[in-house]
Amino acid sequence: MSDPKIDVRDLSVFYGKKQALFDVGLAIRERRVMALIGPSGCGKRTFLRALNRMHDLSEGARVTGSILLDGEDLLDERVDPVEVRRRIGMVFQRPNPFPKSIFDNVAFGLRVANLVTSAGLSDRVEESLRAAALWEEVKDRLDESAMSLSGGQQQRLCIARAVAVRPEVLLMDEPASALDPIATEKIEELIVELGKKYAIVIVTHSMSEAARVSDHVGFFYSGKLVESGGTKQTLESPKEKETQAYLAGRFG
Amino acid sequence: MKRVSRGDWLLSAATGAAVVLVLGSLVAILGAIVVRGAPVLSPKFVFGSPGADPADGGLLPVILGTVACTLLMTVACVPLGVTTAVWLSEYAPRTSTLAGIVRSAIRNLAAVPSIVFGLFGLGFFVLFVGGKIDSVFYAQATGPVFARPAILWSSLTLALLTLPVVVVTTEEALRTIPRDVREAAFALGATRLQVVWRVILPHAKSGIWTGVILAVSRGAGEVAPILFTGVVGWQSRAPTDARDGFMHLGNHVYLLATQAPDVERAQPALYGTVVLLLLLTFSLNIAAVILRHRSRAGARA
Ligand SMILES: Nc1ncnc2c1ncn2[C@@H]1O[C@H](COP(=O)(O)OP(=O)(O)OP(=O)(O)O)[C@@H](O)[C@H]1O
Repeated sequence: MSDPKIDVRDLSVFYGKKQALFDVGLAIRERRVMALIGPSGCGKRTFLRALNRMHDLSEGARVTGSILLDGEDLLDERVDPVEVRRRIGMVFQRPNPFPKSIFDNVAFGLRVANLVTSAGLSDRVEESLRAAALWEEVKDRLDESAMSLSGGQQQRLCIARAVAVRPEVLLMDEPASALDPIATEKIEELIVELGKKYAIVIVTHSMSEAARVSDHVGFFYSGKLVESGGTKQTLESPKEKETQAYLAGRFG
Repeated sequence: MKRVSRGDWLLSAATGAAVVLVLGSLVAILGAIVVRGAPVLSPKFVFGSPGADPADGGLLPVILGTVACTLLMTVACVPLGVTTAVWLSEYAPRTSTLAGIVRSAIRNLAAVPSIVFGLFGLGFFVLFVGGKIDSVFYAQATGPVFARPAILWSSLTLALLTLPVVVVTTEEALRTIPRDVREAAFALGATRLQVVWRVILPHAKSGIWTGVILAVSRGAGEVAPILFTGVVGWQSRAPTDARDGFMHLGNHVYLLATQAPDVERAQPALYGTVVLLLLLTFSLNIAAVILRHRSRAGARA
């Protein structure tokens, strides 16, 4: 097998004195979707936010171990977290567009990174909106406020915004949990589609969602990675008893 | 229906009386002033130049002085106040001692009587800062250039007085910005400065305008801070240089009431000036309210 896109080793996260994640090791592969599952408070989100160094923003959070992106350790002090976040995009649980126009939302990352000339900007915005399956719905109203979109559209806008800077990895924190079933379906289709281009890590509470969108799953339980492997195999015949119990509780 | 208990009745009677009293005194104060002041507000009185007797009006330079002073004050205090608030809320660690000291300094600043600001302005801005500038750049000059009361020093003194209002309202506005929005910006690879400049400040714009409105309302009417730092009683023209002395409507009211050659004859002019001061404060306020409204509409569009 080829080298993983992201190789996480011995990752521990502390909130103040409290340890929330214990020595997690996990490989995330190029052009695959990895779903993180587990009961509430097990550390899935903590793991996800370590990958793009969001913990740098919260006082008292401390991260140890290593996260190798193409072999380069992202936790190295000399690595600029701003640079990390340009390479690893993130979509949040609740849609959080800026109170700006649809166009400006998608262009935000490009502008702050000064990535494209203003002439190339609108092409890039269109490309990103198409990639997020939103272009047809908004192409005539790019100047309208992003707040005028429905929740599902807002979430797809956030996805467009994240892919606009052409990241190498996409992180998604329960991206469909605040949406209705139809919007959820669209987001899930989109994840499968994007998974052909990017390495994606998605946190989800829904086993059926994990089954639908992911190639691999990682099961977390009280701050530890208990089990990981192919989605079908892990969900159907889990090896560890915590996983079995959790899945049984979910389905039975 | 249940009978209204005596306690309830007393309470509503008391509340009603309080409302009548408050509204009544507002109407009485404004009414009395407008009734006495409005008749003298002829174009010549308002827009003319001052003559020998201030009772004859000629308030244009006074109005211009007041406006200039208030605008200068705003220009000085808003950037400083907003920067302070941004630092407190976005940069300083939550447990920072320095931030704690700055916060309590600002709270205390808000509690200082305005006459103390006037004395401080004289001692610090006029004598110390002005004196230093003179000794460094104007050593050859015959008289003081910066080390004398001037509109510049008055505006800065007022800016100090209104600073807490701007800091507190801005910080309040920054606090209402959802954490999600900040995180979204950071997650897109924005630096802290870009997050502040492109997301936080636009988001807080209308809150910042509220601070400006409050600062202007407070600053335009204060006389004590400018008393020793730049205001003059009578001069024939409006200030044209930051180092000029200036006339101010608030101070003018005081002069007309106590220092006019014939206080009796100056009465109508006195009320006219008060009406103008109120009008000016209101219109500065309304201008700021309109700008705030625009900024809100802009944020939604
Ligand atoms: N900022 C924080 N400060 C202190 N403790 C935290 C913080 N964030 C999370 N925790 C704790 O760390 C543990 C793991 O939380 P995390 O959010 O990673 O779990 P999760 O599996 O994503 O849960 P959920 O599915 O409910 O979102 C929990 O016990 C939580 O209380």
